[in-house]
Parts: sequence; C-alpha cells; structure tokens
Amino acid sequence: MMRMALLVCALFCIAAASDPADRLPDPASEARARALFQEVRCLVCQNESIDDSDAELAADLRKVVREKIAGGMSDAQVRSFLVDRYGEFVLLKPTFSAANLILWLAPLAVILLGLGLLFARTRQARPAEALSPEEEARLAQLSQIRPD
Amino acid sequence: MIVEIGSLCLVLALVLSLAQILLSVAGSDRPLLAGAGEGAATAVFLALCIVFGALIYAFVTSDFSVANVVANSHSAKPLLYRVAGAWGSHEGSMVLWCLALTGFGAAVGWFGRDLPADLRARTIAVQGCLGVLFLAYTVFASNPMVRLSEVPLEGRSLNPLLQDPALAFHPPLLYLGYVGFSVVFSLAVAALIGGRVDAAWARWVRPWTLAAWSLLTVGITLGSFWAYYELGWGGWWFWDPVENASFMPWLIGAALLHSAVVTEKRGALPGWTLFLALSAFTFSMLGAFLVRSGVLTSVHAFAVDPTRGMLLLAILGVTAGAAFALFAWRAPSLAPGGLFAPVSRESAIVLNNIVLTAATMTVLLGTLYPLIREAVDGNTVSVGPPFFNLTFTPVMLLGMAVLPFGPMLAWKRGDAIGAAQRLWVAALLAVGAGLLALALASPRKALASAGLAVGFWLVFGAAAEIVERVRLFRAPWPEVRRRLTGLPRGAWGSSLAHCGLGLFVLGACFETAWKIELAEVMAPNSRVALGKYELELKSSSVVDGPNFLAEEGVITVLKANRPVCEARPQRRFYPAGGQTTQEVAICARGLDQVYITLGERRAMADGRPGWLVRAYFNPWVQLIFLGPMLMALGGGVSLSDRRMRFGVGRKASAKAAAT
Amino acid sequence: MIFFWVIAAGLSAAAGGLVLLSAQKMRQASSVVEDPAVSLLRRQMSEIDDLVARGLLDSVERDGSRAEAARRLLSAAERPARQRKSGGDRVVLAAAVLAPAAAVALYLFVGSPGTPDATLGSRVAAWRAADPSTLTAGQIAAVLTEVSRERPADPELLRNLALARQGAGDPYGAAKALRQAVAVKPGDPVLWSLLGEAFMTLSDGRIGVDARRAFGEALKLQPSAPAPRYFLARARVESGDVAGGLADWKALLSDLPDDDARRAGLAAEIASVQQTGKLDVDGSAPSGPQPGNAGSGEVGAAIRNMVAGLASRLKGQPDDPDGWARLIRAYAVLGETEKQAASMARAQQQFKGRPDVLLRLKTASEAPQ
Repeated sequence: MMRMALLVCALFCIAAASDPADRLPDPASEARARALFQEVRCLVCQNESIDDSDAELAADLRKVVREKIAGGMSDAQVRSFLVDRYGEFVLLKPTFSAANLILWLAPLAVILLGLGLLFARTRQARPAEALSPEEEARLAQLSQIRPD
Repeated sequence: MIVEIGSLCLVLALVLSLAQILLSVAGSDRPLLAGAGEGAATAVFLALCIVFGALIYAFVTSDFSVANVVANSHSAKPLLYRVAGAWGSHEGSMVLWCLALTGFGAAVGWFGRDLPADLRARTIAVQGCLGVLFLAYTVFASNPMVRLSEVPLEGRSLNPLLQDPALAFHPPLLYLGYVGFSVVFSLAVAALIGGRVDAAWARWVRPWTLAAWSLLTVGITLGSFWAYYELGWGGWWFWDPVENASFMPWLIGAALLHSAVVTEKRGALPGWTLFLALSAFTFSMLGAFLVRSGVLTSVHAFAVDPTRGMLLLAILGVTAGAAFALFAWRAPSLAPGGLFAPVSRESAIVLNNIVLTAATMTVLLGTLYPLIREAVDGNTVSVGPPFFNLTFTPVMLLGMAVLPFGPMLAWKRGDAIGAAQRLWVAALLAVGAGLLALALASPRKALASAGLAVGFWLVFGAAAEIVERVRLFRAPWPEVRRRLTGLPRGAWGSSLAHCGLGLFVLGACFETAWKIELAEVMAPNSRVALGKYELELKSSSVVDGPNFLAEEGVITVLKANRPVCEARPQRRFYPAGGQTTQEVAICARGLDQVYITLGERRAMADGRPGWLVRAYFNPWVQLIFLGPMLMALGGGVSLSDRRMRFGVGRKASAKAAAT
Repeated sequence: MIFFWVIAAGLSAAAGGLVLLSAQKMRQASSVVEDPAVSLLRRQMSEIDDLVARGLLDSVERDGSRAEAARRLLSAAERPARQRKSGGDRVVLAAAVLAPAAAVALYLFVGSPGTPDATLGSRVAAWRAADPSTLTAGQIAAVLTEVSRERPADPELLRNLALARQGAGDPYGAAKALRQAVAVKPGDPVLWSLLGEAFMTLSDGRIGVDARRAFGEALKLQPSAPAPRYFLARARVESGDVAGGLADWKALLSDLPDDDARRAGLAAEIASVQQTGKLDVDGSAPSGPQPGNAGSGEVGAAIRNMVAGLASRLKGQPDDPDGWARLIRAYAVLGETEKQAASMARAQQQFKGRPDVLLRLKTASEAPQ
C-alpha cells in the first residue's frame, strides 16, 4: 500500500524503452539515447523516466530524442532542446544553477559543517584526571553498600 | 455486533489514552498513579487489539455494511488478501499504526521495570499524547467502523497488483518499524522534561532503536523485492517519494543506533543523540504524511485526500514542533559528556553520523525540493534517480570507506596505525577483488569495480573485526575458542550488519553495472542469447485463472546448450478492472537471476506470430535483498545480547544477594 | 442488542479493572528501590576491565576511563533520591470509572449502536430462506454462487447462476459460470451457445475467437441449433463475408417453423443487412432467434417476479433512472423484446432532456445477450 503510486505506472509502464521496433540502427547512438531517456521525466507519470514509462507521451518523447540523436545533436543539445520545449520539469536531474545550489551543495555543506564541529571538539581532548583519594573512598564506600 | 464492539473499543482506546496521559503525568512522583497509567496503557493496547480483530473479521466475512470493507474488499478475493485488506486501506492502516503505537506504549510499562520510575511514567505519558492525537484522528477523521444504511451486494476493490504476499506483509513490518521510533521519541521528550540525559538513558534507548530499525529494514526490503518482481522491469529502487519516506527514518535510525552507543559508553554527545531520537519518529510521521496526503503525487491522484493530509500535517507540526522547542530550551543545559581524540571510536562514530545525516539531508531535500522551488519562485522542477545517484551514492561511499576502521579503534584515543595493521589483509583482499573485477568483468567499468572493492572491504572488514576479537592466528586454539564463545552478541550483531551492508553494496554495484537487457520478438522454437545464457521460446498458451485470463509463455533457459530451468512468464488480463499485468518468471542461479517477462503478441517479418520477450540477466541481484536481511538479522542478534535485555541488573544483584 | 450492551459493560469494567489492578500492584511493590541507573553504571565499570582483557583498552587509558565511569557512578549514586509521594487512590478510582463511562457516551455519538453485523454468509443464508420473488438478480446470483459451491457439478445450476449474474450486470461472472458448466457437461449445445453469447457480451457485442469457438462447439453437437447458427452467420457478416453470412441466415430462416416468434426479427435484420451491406451496429443488439433461456426453473420465475415488481414501482415513481436501466436490462435478459421496447419508449419520454440517462438506458438495452 505504500507503493500505490508505483502501481499506476505498473499498469501502463511496461518497460517500453527497449522495444526492438523503435531502436536506432547504430548501437552507440541507441546506447546514448537510452542513457538520456533515464534523465528525462515522463511528464504525465508520477516519478518515472521515459525509459521506464509506457505512457503515450513518453513514447513521443523517446521518438523525439531518438530523432535528435540520429540528427547529430549532442546530449547537451538534446537536453537544452527539451528544457526549451517543456521547461526544467522535464529533467529528472535538476540543472546545476543558482536556484538549485542549495539542493546540490547541501550534502557537502552538512559534511563540512560536521567535520568542522568534530575537529573543534576533539581538539579539547585531554586525558581524564585520575580519581582523587576522596573519590576513591566514596567509591569504596559505595561498593560496600551493594557488593557487585 | 462484532463490528460495533470494535467501534466501541476504538472510542474506549481514545478515552483511556487521555486517562493514560493524566495518570502518568501525575504519576511521575506518585507510584500509585504511575501504576494506574501503565494499566491504562495496557488497556488501550488490548482495546485496539479488539478493534483490529473486529476489522479483520469484517473483511474476512465480507461484511459490506462497513463502508471501509465495501471500498477495499471483494468477496472473491482469496482469504489472505481479505485479511491483508484490513490494513490495506487508509483507515485500516491508521488502526494498525495506532495498534503499534499503543503496543509500544504498553511495552514500556511491561519491560521498562529498569527505567527510573519518573522517566518511565513520563515516557508513558508522552506515548499517551501521541496515542491521543492519532486515535482522535482515526475516530473522527478516518474511522474504519463507519456503517452503511444501504448494504451493497459486493465490494469494490479487486486490484490484482495488490494481491501479493510480499505486499500483504510489507505494511505491518514497515509500520512496526516506523512506530517503534515513537518509544525513542517519548523517551527523549521524557528525558528532556526530567532534565537527565546520561549514559543510562542512552542504554535504555538502544534496544528500542534496534528493534524499530530492524523491523524497518525488513519492511523496506520486502517492499523493494515486491517492486522488483511485480512491476516487471527489474528495478528495485526508484527514489520514489514513497520509498524515500521510509528510507529517511531508516537512515536516521541507523545514525541513532551508533550515536547512542557513544552516549552510553562515554556519556558524550547527549544532545546530538537526543536530537536524533526526536528526528527518527519525526521522519516516520513525515513519511506517513507524505504518503497519505498526496502532496508529492499530484499527477496521479492515488489515496489523495487533502483534508486528511492537512490533519496529519497538523499532528506532525504539533508533536515535532513541541518536542524540538523543548529540545532547544533544555539542550543547552545538558552536561557535555566525555571528551575524545580525533582518532578514536567516538570520532569514527561521529563521522558515521555526519555521513548518515548528510545522506538524510540529500534524500529529504531531493524529495521536497520540487515543493520548495514551486513555493519560492513558482518553477516546477523534477528530482529523480540521476540526482540521487550523483549525490547520495558518493556520500555513502565516503562513510563506507572509513567504516571498518571504527570497530578497530579504542574509545577515547585510538591508534590509527594499529587499526591499519589489523586491517591491511582485508584492504588488500578488497583492492585485489576490485582489480580482478576490472580485469575480468566485461565490459570494463572502473567505477563499478571500485564499488565492488568497497563492498568487499566492508565484508572483509567485518570478518577482520571478529578475527581480531578472538585473536585468531595469534592466540592458541583453546583461547580462541574461549574468546569465541565469550564474544558478546552485540559484537556478532554489528559485524553481521556491517557484512550485510557490504553484501548489499556488492549486489547493487554488480547488478547495476553488468546487468544484461534483452527485448526481442521471438517466434516459437527460436533462440536468443542473453549473456552466457540462451532463451528458447517453447510454446505459448492461454491459461484460465480464477479471475484473469493469461497468455503464458514456456521459455527454456539454456546454458552451454543444456537447459537449466524452465520459465513460465504470463501476461494477464483482469477483465474486472480491464487491467493487464505481467507475471515475471525468475530463474535463480546462485546469486544471479534470469528475469523474464512476456509482452504482447506481434506479427514477425515473415507473418508468423511472435511474442515480445523481455529478459534481464541480473548478476548478484540476490545480494541486494539478502544483504539488508542480514543487516536486520544483525539487529536481532544485538537485541538478544544479555546486556541489552531489561531487568538484567536486578537479576544479577538478586543472585549476588542469594549467594 | 442486550447482549451487545452486556459485552460493552463487561469490556468497560475490564478496562477500569485493569487500571485499578495495575495501580494496586504498584502499591505492593517495595517503596525503596535503588536508582536503576546506578546498577547500570556499576555494570559499565566492570566492563572496563573486560575491555582491557580484550586488548581494546591499554592500561593508561584504563585509568582515565575508570575515573570517568566512577565519577558518573558517584554522581548517580549520590543524587538525592526523589521524594515519592503516596496517595492518589481517589484519582485512580475516578479514572477507572469515568474513562469507560465517557467512552460509552462518546460511542453513542460516533458509533451506530444496535446495528447488527451483516456478513455476506448470513445475508446469503437469509436470501436462501426468503421468497425468491422478493430478491434482486444480484441476490439470486449470490445465493446461487453459494449453492454452486455445494454442488459444483450441477450444469443446470451453473446455467442459472450465469443468467442471474448476467442480470446483475456481471457478464464476466456469467462467462465464468458457463465455462464451468461446459466443463461439467461438455455435451450440451445450449450451454456452449450461451457461453458464446457471454463471450460476446464481454467483447462489447463483437463475436471474437472465443465466442466463435464456443458457437462452433454448440453447432457440432446440434447442427440445427438456431442460436449458434444465427451468431456464426453474424460473425461472417461482421468479418466482411456479407454474402456468406446472409446465405446462412436465409437458410436458418427457412428452417425455422412458421409460428416461431423469432422469424420476424431475423427477417428484418436480413433485410437491413441486404440494404446497407453491413450490420446495423447502432440499432438494438442482435434480435435474432435466441431461445428464451431465462424462462425455465425457479430462478427464471424469481427474476420475472422481480421484474414485475420493479415495473409496477416505476409506474408509480417514474423518476428513477437506475430503476429504468435495471428494468430494461432485465427485459433484455428475459428476451422480452416488446416489453423492453415499450419501457424504453416510456423511459425515453421521461428523460427526454437528459442525454446522460438516455445513454445509460441504451447501454442497458444492449448489455446482455
């Protein structure tokens, strides 16, 4: 039931990307297309790339990408073409831009902050002072009350 | 009548939870009232057992006078799925949530005899507050016992994909894990109120965390396995918001497991451990909210209910807000605890916590970022698997690279060179395995080979820890044996869990990098190659199922011209809902699997009929599911450690008094 | 009802009792208990020696760690014990009584006191005992499903089950029952023919592979059977062989006895196809010579009674789209084309301005064959 959302796609998205009828003749181009498919969102699906989705729009997008690749576009050109046409929403990997800086740098920031705190804290480390005779006496007294 | 008894018990549970709060709050310094509060907690749990039983009864007997049964069941469903239907709906799952919540609350009373009386009473009071919030939500906004005046003839739900054993047991385990963290949360709030957060407190937190985390591990793994074989394209993790929702409490729980050890052994990091204890359950509630409200699934409106979502968000806001406000107020007054050197067990664990926190932040931001961007500048963006692969994976790899050092270091001030000396064999073996993969596996993939080296590093590192502890090869055999039997379960548990993580990394790297994919239109009696295997489509026939019609392909998997197994993938049509599903056929060969699905019928070039067959050769894929199971087992073994059990101290002193 | 309140009272008392009992147990427990933290810290101190023995702690570190642990132990042991108060008996008693009472009061608002369970089993048992004429097609189907579990090899029963399911708007269930029936009694041409019709219903009236195979079986068993002959001929027309289909239909027409009520419909359809060269898909569903299947046995009578009741009710309260759709579908099941046409006209008059209802009525008139 936690996976209800996935069910939707299960009904429609039956790994359509590898359909032999649509493949590009050149294996290298096809491999590039497949890699790109995984970065492009199926716009009507929930959270699925067009590589996984069997929705009609995904099939259209695959066709577009394959055509562009066959037409000699580079991966970056295809991406910017798709963004121009559908907006940034179409990319499953957000661009590394100012607006997305927090998203991309947060993990690094957490790690640096954590390491800084760790370093600052461990610098103060000193060996604990030995127990004073008075403390030893209290400890012995405590042991007498309840022998372990 | 049974349904109405359930309905009454649900209300009874709510009111008794209120009594539980009042009695336990007043009971922090009055034993009589504390006892009454514990009694109320037990009564709440028993009442909810009756509610849950009544609900299952209504589902099993197809009592269509209950609105929830009508919406989520059908008399033609097999018994198991009628039972599972009881927690398959939103209303039912909230009952399960409350059942687990109050069960853990009652368990604090039963097993918490070793907790200081005031801490125990306050914990039960906080647990009661959580119970009241969720029970009130269940009674007034999501009541599963609502009756219909017009009783329909048949129920409405017969979704074929949900009728699956893994999916029947996935939610209860997941919920037990989620809600298990509620005890940790309550213990933290109670400790903040009492102002005493010390080594003893950390020891009481640990078993609850271990139990919740292990259950969550099993739940997530089951869900992943279900997606793998039911959805039909061989993926096992999709970085879907729903999955992320369950993954975040898991990551925080793992961090808490480790930091609680530091607080227990050294009295250090009490504030941080408290913070994690509060966060784990907050993330659990966030998960419930994300899944149930549908804020992130706006395109496909499954289980979307904005009103209920807002109510759950309100519960989340109230509980987490109050708890963290209390934390901000009381934490500065906590004693800082013991100090430690940069190279020490403590530092290693802190590093682990930094990594896990960064990983959680990555998942959290990635999951919520589309909402954040939309709120800030109105742009819609997507954050999908490519993002997580680029950020989450390196962060975790960093942690794994230093993981085996942790157990080799002494507390307070460790000996880096000594640890390296103990680990050089493991490191050598791991690097060797990675190089071997680079040389032998085709196509050659450097990153994946490095990933394999990390996986082996974890596995051999875990083994090295045991070897080191029993002084294998260094001490005479009798001593080794003595040490082996004397080794605490906790040590076995952590080694098992670390080894399981290594196995998972091995499986994930190998499967992702070297899986072989195939999609061919096959005529009967034709063969295609899939890596070192060959598939031969023998025949295809129509099969008449209980509530579906299926086309079944009989496909022989051959290796070196010898048949190794026969696969029968199906393409099913369920006329009731007009759905088509694929039943995957899996041939397990050692750690590998050949994964086959049957697609639609197509005319071949020569006009003969053919079938679109998709197949994957998934090498080492079994490790992806076995590894996490081993981690959960490690958690269970640690939990069975004598030192972790409650009441040990009392029994030991009783024995001492007797002798 | 009384039984329910007895149980409710029992449960409330048990809840209150549990609270009292648990409080009582705490009263008996010894009042002087050492702080559990102290014993825990004691154990921790003894673990330090253990660590030294394992080589995880050298002797220099040992002293430091021991000092640390000892200080924690001392501070815990010397913490002034909290003053534990006694009393609170009246609060406990009040809670044990008031909470269950409040719960029952709240339940009266939230729950549906007195509503009995309605398990499917008990409802079916009640329908089985009831006069069949008072039951709807769906209820009859549920009863027959139950009976067919006891007598799974009764083809007549399965046939009636199929008809009842068809009448209840469950064509898939009908087809399933018929598949079972032909498996039990493969020599019955009527069952095969009905199965073919059920397959047709499933594929929106088209005669697909499965339906054709079923009609073929029926014809093999009884070459003169009118229904399969009619449908197989229709299938020929459907697949483009208009001339062949028409020839088959004409042969069938000449074989039907003169007083057969079905002649008129068939003749009209032949004329229509001859004129247009294709099937009249927009018109009402094939009105060919189907035997009046639902006429036999108790179930048929029950359905007829139900239909009559519905018809008379609709006369009094005509503003009921659901009712009309059900009535029209029921007439289709019974093969009463005239009554169906009449009620269709009446309903169309009633819902003139509501195309959505009209569409539903049309679907209903076409649904079962």
